[in-house]
Amino acid sequence: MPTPDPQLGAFEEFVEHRLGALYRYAWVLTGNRHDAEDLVQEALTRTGASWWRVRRKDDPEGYVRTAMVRIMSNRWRRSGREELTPDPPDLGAPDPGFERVTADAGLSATLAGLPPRMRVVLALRYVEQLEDNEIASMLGCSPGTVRSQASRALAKLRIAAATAEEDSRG
Amino acid sequence: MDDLERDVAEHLRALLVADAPPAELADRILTRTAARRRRRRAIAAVTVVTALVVCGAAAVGVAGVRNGSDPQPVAAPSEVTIQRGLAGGQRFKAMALGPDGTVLGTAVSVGPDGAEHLRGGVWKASPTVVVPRRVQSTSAGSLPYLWTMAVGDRVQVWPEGERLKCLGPNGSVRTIGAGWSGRERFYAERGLVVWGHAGRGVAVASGCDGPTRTIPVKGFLKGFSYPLAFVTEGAKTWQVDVRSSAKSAVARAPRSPDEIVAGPTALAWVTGDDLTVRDRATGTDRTVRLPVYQSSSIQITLGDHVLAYSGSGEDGDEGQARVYDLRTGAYVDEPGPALAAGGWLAVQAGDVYKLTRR
Repeated sequence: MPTPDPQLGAFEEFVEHRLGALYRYAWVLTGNRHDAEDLVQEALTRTGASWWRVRRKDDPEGYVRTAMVRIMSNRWRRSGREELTPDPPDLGAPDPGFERVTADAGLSATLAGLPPRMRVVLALRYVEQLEDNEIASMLGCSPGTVRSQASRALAKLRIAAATAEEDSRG
Repeated sequence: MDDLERDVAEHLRALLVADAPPAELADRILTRTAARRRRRRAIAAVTVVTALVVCGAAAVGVAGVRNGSDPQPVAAPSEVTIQRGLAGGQRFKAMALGPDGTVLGTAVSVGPDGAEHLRGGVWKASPTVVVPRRVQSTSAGSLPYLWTMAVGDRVQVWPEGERLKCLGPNGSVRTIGAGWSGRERFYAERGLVVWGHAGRGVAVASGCDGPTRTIPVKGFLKGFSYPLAFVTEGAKTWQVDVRSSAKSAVARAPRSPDEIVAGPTALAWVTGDDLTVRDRATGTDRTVRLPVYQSSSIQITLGDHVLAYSGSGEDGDEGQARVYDLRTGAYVDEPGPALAAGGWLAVQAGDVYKLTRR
């Protein structure tokens, strides 16, 4: 006769308290609500299935955040190529998180349109404040690749910012 | 860090204080985690048993070479027995099965003549809770309305008078079901509760605590499989997307079917003695002749891969069912009522329910 799983209780408590923060972090990584849902769901499901091991660590939440980054990284590798946006769209997909905070539609739209890997690199660099070698370790690539991704992302953003400024001057 | 980089950091960090996750996300995570753990335990058990068999075979193998015996494959554990016996000699009667194997029902007493009498209360069992527990009491006046229940993604719904009671993951019970007459169908799936709003359309509630909206559509709600509600209006069958309210006619649907049931992989109609099952992926239909049950209540439920056509006995406690495998078309006759949902099948077998993965 199967017995109830007591560990799921502790994991349930972890999900109850930290899901909000982890979901929002997933949104930072993915740029949209639906991908964020999928990502945090997969990361937490994997974590929960190994909870007996994860809960001994000092930072289960950090474990989940790392899992999210690695899931995204593995998806890039499986897909073989990224869906690159050749030019930033003039208006990005509606994203209430951005629009609520700032009226800078050019930067917002460009961020929303960045390829996933570039976006993740920016998130890890500017939100997690990781060094490039730490980011490289997390993504399973070289520090040179991290710097290249960041540089290309910032170049796109500078172009978008300059274009928006020219447009505003009329 | 230059100005642009500071702007980027500000934009990204702003998301860390943005919207809350959807209400049902936590439930989905916990449900999937539990399922993944069960699969891992089952695989581990098979691995251990197989290792033992292999080791045994290795030991026997030398002898086996002499007598020609081979080790037999071992099936993964896939069946749970739910006890029906409750305190005071009452029995648990299943009314709904959820896609995660949750069994929701009520208590009945069975007389020496086999006649069944409703005693009420909402009881719950599951693959990990094999002795049903009472989760809520019901009033005596609500018993005539207690004809069915719904289970989905940690939301349980049952009727109480002409309203619906909804038990959510936080353990509190809310009254929902505005516009429900006590006779229309209701469903719970993906954290949504959907019911027929008499004369107005299809009501959709976002969980037990969330807002309710009504999608205007004429007819009667007959089936639901997220995100589509199936409504019959005269000879027509409509499918209504509860996310967008978009409505379209179901192609080649039978005129005025007696019953409709919808699942993730199939849509089924009962017209007279015929059951038509449509593969939702391919659009192909298969029609079979249903058995004739001398039954006061027929129930049809769809899981991912099976359909259960179930009839309770005239007096209630006994019954029978025919369970169709949607993949092969084969069927099995069961000696008791059955319910199908998700990857589970619950079959009444005397004083227990056999809950099996299908």
